[in-house]
Amino acid sequence: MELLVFVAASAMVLGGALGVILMRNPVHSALGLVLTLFGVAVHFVALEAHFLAAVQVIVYAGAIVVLFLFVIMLLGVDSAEDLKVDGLTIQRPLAAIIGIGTVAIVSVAVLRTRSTIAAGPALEASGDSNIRLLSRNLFSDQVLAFEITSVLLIVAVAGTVLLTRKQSGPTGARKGS
Amino acid sequence: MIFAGSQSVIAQINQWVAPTIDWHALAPELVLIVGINLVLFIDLSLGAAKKWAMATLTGLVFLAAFIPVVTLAVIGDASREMFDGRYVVDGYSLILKAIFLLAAYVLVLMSQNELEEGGYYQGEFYVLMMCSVLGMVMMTSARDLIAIFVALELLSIPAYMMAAWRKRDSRSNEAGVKYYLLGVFASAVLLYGMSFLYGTTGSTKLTDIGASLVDGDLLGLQVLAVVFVLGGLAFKISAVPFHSWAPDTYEGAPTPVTAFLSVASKAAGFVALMSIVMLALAPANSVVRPMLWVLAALTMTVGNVMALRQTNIVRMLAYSSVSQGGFILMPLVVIGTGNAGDSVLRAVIVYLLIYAFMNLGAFSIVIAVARRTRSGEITSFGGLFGYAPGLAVLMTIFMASLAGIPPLGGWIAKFNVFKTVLDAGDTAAYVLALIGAVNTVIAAAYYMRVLRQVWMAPAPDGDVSPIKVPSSIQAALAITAVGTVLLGVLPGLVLRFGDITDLTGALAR
Amino acid sequence: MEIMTNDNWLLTVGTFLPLVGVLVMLFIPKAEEQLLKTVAVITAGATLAVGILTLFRFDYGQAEKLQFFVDVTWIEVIRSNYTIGLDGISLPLYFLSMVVTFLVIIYTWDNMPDAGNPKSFLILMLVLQVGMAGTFVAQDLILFFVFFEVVLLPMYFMIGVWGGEHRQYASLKFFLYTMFGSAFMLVAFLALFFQTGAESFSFMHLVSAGGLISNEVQVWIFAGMFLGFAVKVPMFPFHTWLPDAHTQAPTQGSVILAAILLKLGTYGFVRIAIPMLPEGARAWAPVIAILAVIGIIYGALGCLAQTDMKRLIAFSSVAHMGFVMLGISTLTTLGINAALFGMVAHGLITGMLFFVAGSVKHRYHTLEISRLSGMLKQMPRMGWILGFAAMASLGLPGLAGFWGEFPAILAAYSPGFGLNVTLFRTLMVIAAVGTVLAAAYLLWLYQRTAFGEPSPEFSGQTPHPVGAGVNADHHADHHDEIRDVTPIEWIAWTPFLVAIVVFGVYPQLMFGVMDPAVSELVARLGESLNP
Repeated sequence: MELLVFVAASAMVLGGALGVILMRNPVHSALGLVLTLFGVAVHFVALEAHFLAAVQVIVYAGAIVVLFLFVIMLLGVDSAEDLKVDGLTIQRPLAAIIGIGTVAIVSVAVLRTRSTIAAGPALEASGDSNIRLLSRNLFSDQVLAFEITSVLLIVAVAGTVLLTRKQSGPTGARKGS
Repeated sequence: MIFAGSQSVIAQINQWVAPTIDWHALAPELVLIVGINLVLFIDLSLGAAKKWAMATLTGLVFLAAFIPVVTLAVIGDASREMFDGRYVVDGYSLILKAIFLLAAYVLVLMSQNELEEGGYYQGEFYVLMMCSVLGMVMMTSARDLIAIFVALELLSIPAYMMAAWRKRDSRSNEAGVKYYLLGVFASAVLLYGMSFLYGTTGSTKLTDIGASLVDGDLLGLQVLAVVFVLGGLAFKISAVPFHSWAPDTYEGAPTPVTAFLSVASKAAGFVALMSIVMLALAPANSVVRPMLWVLAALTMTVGNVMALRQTNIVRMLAYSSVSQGGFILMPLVVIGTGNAGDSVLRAVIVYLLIYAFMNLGAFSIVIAVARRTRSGEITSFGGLFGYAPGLAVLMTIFMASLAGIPPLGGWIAKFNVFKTVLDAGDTAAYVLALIGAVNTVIAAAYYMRVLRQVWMAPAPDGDVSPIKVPSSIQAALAITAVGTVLLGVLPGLVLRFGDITDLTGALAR
Repeated sequence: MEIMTNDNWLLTVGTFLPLVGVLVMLFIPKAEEQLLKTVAVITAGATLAVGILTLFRFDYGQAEKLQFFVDVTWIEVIRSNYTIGLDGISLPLYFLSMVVTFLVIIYTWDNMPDAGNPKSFLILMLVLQVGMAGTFVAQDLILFFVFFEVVLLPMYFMIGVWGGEHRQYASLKFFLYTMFGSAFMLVAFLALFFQTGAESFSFMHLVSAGGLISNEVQVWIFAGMFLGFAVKVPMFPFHTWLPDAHTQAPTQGSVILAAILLKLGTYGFVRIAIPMLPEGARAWAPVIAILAVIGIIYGALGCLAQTDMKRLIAFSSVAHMGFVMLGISTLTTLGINAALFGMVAHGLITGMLFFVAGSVKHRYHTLEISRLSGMLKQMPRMGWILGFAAMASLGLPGLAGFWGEFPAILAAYSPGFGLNVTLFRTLMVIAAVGTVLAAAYLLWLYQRTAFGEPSPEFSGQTPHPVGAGVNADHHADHHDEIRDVTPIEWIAWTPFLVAIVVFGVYPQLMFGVMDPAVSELVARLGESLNP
């Protein structure tokens, strides 16, 4: 049963990921991403990390990808980039080789490691232990990093507004013209 | 089911203790956070005519953040720990915090006129810059993978936007996008490696990871984790072959941002690398050392050879900073041999400090000269000695220092590196030192080419009216020049830092 | 090595005094040329005065000891100290550097190179003097290295800004060659430091501890130092920067380069490489000797092929430094004494030749040998000085050059410490042929330039009476004034001419200073090599 769920979820993740990069239509790519994120959520469920699974679905699949879709539709689906133009012809084969090589190396490493790592104890399935565990970790050991991510949000907001706002006032290409 | 460390975590559930927070130790970060908000809100209410005040305010914030760094160094314990040793303020982190704040202050001085005259969004620029510096300041104390990653993102994400600051210039856009895409990719690789480390050791705390790894008996996944982590960080320090973003980004970004990237951002990458390699990956030396050896040798050589061919001064400085990165990597190669720990730290930190001075100085000159010539070509420096002897002499100091000619700072930095490497005494170290020696000569060639223009060539357009240097850039030049010369003549001033850079001591706990 | 700490302020003041002048000059506006020149002359003069005082305070009875010794902590962490001292080996070179700088600055009074800007020119020269003097007094490897490198940039700019037509190429070549050598030298220094227990960079410690390093390692470390010093000398395969640098450099640069800078390399061999690495020295001695002799012959043949007077003198430098290196490679008291004497003699003689070449260029605006002739008729005093310097250069007995070459050749007859006698005697014969070639090219040069009638290009112009026009006018386009030696030139040159004669007639004056130190050096070598 466990194996079955694992294989199914992994197939979702990989299939979705392939879809993201192979689909011509950006909307389809975004939907592929949803599939991937759902697959990851299934994995979380299988690991009894229910809270993370819920967050995964609500935040990623629900909020973020929906925003993606909005942006894609607002910008217009047709403005797909022409991927036929390629500066360095060697890049694509090279990328393929490196990609396949990385997959192979990772697989070998995982397969050789698998037997030597002891399985961790299962989480207590009862109640809200998941949430407690996470929150205690976040608010004790990792509290500083957690709080600092709020600064990251300021950065994101300030930056996004700036980069998208219509230019006002004079600018010039001063340097290196 | 790779979740070996969860036992201890579960045990904590029922004994919640609020973390003790040492506010004094966090003061530099807090000052910066207050400053970020202050600038953000004051900027909202200021008219366009008063935007210049933002630069002054930002500079003051950096100086204010410097105060707790000093008090922490003077008062109290040598080492303050928080969050179970995940955030440590000790001599090592204080020196680096000081370097970052000093560099940031100089960078504010350098950016001021460029932003004012370009009509860029000044307030927001400084907000982003402070956020990035906050990330760097955090990085120096972070002793946990999560904290390191958050700090790294905090310092990188504002930098992506700053690189694209000149929105109408397509090259600035290219710079930002290239930096963003490759930076995010590098972060992903780094995170992937970190997740393996966590999965196989059950902890994100660096010292715990270091204790869990077993030398000579690394799991396949752990080897992979080390490779990914080092690869991800290599992007940040633009080490060859992960350097391809650097020249285009450096050239396209506004010059002060380029200076920021090549000095502060790069230094932060080195800090992360140092912390992780020394604390967490010490037992994995058999993987780390060869990898760093190759990275260092490649970075120096390729960076230099590419720099030789550049005609644009900023591109040349970009490649030169790549190759300087190779030199900074050199001492890390001999980590774990004999008592090299202290001297490795010292060599890297001293190099970072001196590199900050001389490289920021060189960029200040580029900014000052480009205000008049409006050109980034090396030939635009022709005849500088004739019409701006002061700038010419300063450029000579910075270039000679970068080339490593005594008695300027760059020399003592390089000397320390060679000394540390040769201290290891094995063949690999000697070969690396010889590669480094050859590279100092190659590097001298292109630095001297700039000086040749400055001193020996005629002014390209015959315009020999004196250059007006704004007072803020004058201040930046004064700070960097004094630093470059002083550290070269009296290196004892900073080499003493070595006594308190006790990072390896943390391993013993 | 024993030390004496008498008058220990002398060397520091003597070395860094020029910086005071530099500081003063920085605040003088560029336009005040006379004032700038005055300050420079006063500074160099004051430095020389300190040098003369040093000569008087030096205890010649104990010339083998380091005198005026100072040892102050400098960079504690890397165990490098500010250690300076002077013994019989370094005293002549230290003093020579002060004399040469002073005279060159006096010469500059009237003969500023065309690029102008005496402020920077004189400042660079004073900085150069600090580096040169410092190199000769340093008794700590790191301090030595710093001073050794300090001379690089000023010389680079001196050639590159005030030099001839191909100055940019020549200056960069000079810079990169030297940089290349010193990079390897630094690695070798560090290797030596760690191999001797990482205790100290002081010469005294390294001399006593260096001999204990295993043979093979010594050979490798010596190789690194060899690269650094051989480029500076320059020895045969590394010499190609020299003709370019000399030809393109302004007169002042050429004189300093020939008189002092080249000696930094040979001094490094005598002071550092050989005493610290005796086994390495023994292993490398045949190589050095062979390269030295190749340099002698190659330099001489190169001279015969030159059409440019300055380039010819530059190649003669390669040959003369070959004799110096041959003397050093014998590892005997006689050979090293000869080498040290040769260093000073070459400095005086070749410096003099470059002065004359510079003045000729100043008057004729060319140094093409084929275009010059009849110098003796047109300006007899200049012609005689050229003849005198050429005679000294070819090693005429009774002049200083002889005592550098003849004993070096003699020393090669019986090299020390079991070096291959057959090899060295063969080399001795070849080197002797080199002296004949030297006579050939110098006399030929003299014949072509000084004898005969003045070339029609410059004839019809009467020599200007001496002393009539002290302020030399720069008439770049027409040669209406071919004047004989000017008063300023007499002031700058007389000390050289006198010294060449004095040391030629009474060489013991210098041998007496150097011999005790050299004897001790060779004796210490003997302790390591023949235990």
